[in-house]
Amino acid sequence: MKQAVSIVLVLLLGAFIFTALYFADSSPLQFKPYGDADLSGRVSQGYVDKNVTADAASEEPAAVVYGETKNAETGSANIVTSVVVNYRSFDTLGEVTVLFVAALGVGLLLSGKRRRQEAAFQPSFILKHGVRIVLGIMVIFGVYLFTHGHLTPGGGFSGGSIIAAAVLLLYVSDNAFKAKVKAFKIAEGVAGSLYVVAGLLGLALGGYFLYNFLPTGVVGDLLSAGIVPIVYILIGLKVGSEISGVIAGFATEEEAL
Amino acid sequence: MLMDILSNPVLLIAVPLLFAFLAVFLKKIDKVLLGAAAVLNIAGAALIAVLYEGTKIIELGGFKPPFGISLVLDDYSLIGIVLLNVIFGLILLLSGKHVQKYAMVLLVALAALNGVILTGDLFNLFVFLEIAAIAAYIFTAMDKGFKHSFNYLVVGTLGSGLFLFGIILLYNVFGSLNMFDIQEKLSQANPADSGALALPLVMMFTGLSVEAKLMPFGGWVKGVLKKANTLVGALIVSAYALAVLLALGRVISTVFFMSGAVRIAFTAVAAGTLVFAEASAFSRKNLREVLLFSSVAQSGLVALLFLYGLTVPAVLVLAGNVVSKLVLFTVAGKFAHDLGTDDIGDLKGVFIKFPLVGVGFTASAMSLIGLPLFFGFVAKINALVGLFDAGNVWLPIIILVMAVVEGAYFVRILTTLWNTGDEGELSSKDKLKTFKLNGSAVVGAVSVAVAVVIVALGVLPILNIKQFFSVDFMTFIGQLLGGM
Repeated sequence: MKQAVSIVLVLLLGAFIFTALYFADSSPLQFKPYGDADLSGRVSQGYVDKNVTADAASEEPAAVVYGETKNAETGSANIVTSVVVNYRSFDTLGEVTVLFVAALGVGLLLSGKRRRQEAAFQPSFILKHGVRIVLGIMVIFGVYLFTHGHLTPGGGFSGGSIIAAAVLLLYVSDNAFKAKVKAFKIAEGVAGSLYVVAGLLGLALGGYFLYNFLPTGVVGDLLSAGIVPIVYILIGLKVGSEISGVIAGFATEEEAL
Repeated sequence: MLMDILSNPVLLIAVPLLFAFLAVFLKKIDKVLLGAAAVLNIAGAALIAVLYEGTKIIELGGFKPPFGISLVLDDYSLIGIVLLNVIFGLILLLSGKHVQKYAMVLLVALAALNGVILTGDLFNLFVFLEIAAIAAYIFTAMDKGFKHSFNYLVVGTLGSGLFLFGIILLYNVFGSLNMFDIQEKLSQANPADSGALALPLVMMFTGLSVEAKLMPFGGWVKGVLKKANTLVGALIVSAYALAVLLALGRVISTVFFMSGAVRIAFTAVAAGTLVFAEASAFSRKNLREVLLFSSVAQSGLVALLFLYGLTVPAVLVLAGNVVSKLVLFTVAGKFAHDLGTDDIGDLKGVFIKFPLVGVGFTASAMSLIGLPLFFGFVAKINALVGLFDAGNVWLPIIILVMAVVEGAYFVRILTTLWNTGDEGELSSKDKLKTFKLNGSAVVGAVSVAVAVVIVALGVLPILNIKQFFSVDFMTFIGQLLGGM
């Protein structure tokens, strides 16, 4: 009975969504089909042009040229990064906190007397030593992703996840391996605190929380975009250590009594 | 300059967050950090209230709206943050010993709830709701009721997903996430076209309803709160209820205006919640169950008022409810913890032994019912007059009938808890000797203090001495109360 009601409800919801999206009337407030939306009226156009702080809307934005434009707004060559770590950095601080509190929950639930959980298979010699070779490359790639987050695709979240994947590999390849969870905790706390401190510095120096108070340099340079790369490195460290901590938590099991 | 920085509302979010991150490696003093953040936030909210000079948009990152994220400090959010931080401080004062290992989670929750009230950006609201919700999942797992927490987790995650879906649809239409930019664009559109917004509005309302405990989306609340300790219970029915319902009000009465079929559907949900929850509360025997259903009913009432654009009465009802519920739930949780039961029948005459607690509980309950001379009366009369003025007859009738039901079960509870014997029997005080309450002095003092405030705010508008208040914030409250 419960299942039948659920199925009917889901079908009704689906029909509602479908009709609302696809049987469009001519109302200007109607969801626009793919390709019909007026992109120039959206806030994201300002992010692409890097002229959000311009006074008049009629002002023609200057073209942003890679490797030439100096002191551009945010200064990040990667447009996505300029949105994530500068225009909407406050949301990103929130997202970092989402991950933080989720990891905290895992830690609280899986705390107490626990021992290392063993894999169902015995890691082979090749797996064990192959991991040692791959490990360094993975960590370097992760670090590369978050230090170049303002230039190329990637950034703190993906870079941090790759580093955590390296830690996961260590756990999978060695039944005796135990990471230093305490070190993860310290890295996590320090990186998170520094992110907030960077925001507070912006408030003290520029009058706005998370204000980009460093010079933004030339678009495309490694040392450009002001606090953006610094914040992304902090996010990378935080995400990497947090997910590693979660992996370390799940790799343990309750001590048999 | 320094004052400008210190009175920036973003600090109410940034400071608890910073302390949460610091507590990760300063584990030994995490409770000190929690207490410090709570005190700093109360001081910060007070400073903001004193320096308040009308609506202010606080830009973040230095980007003007609608491009950057901005916080909004207006009468609405000011009342919210003052009330929230004081309530949070009181909860810690009353239930400090339940904090245990959860200091960091509480710090994050404090930051997120302030963010929910202050933010002027739809996606930012989603982010803060998400943080607050995850913190709540963790709190509710504190009592090892994992099944109910998991149920809450699943329902809450679904709700967040629907809310996000609504935001995506709105961004497609308006090209902006800033609430006031959307409001502006909506006001220029032809009202006849607003029917096209039904889908995003339904999605957002459903998503918020999960956290706002509207039925049937808030079904998780029963399992979670039935056995909750004072800390978790008071947090959910008071601090969380305040922040989430203020966010709901912001979305459905400030940014969007409800009309037509959408309003009828939402009204059915809100009014249905009110009726169902009051009926459920009436039939329960355990104090905490009665209170949790009463809390759900109040959410329905507040949502109903927001739906009809009655923002001021809604805020008054909400404020009265969360303050009363803080005292009621703390006392109920304390009985359950220290006396081993919160069955109303087993607690006969308990207030004779603890008269201070009893006075505070009684005043809070009477304010909740809406008896004259208590703050709840001011709130409810404002609500009823507002609905009548809007030409509505049926909703005031429903609200009045439900107030009678509410009165009936609260009077039943109060008479039982103040009398030792059954009706017609000689009362005996023997059983009372076995009742022992830890720290009943603190609970008593706080609940009596709250009672004094409730009565004062209930009497002042009648005496009409609002002109004695000189500070802006106080005149505003005076105007609100005088609005009856």
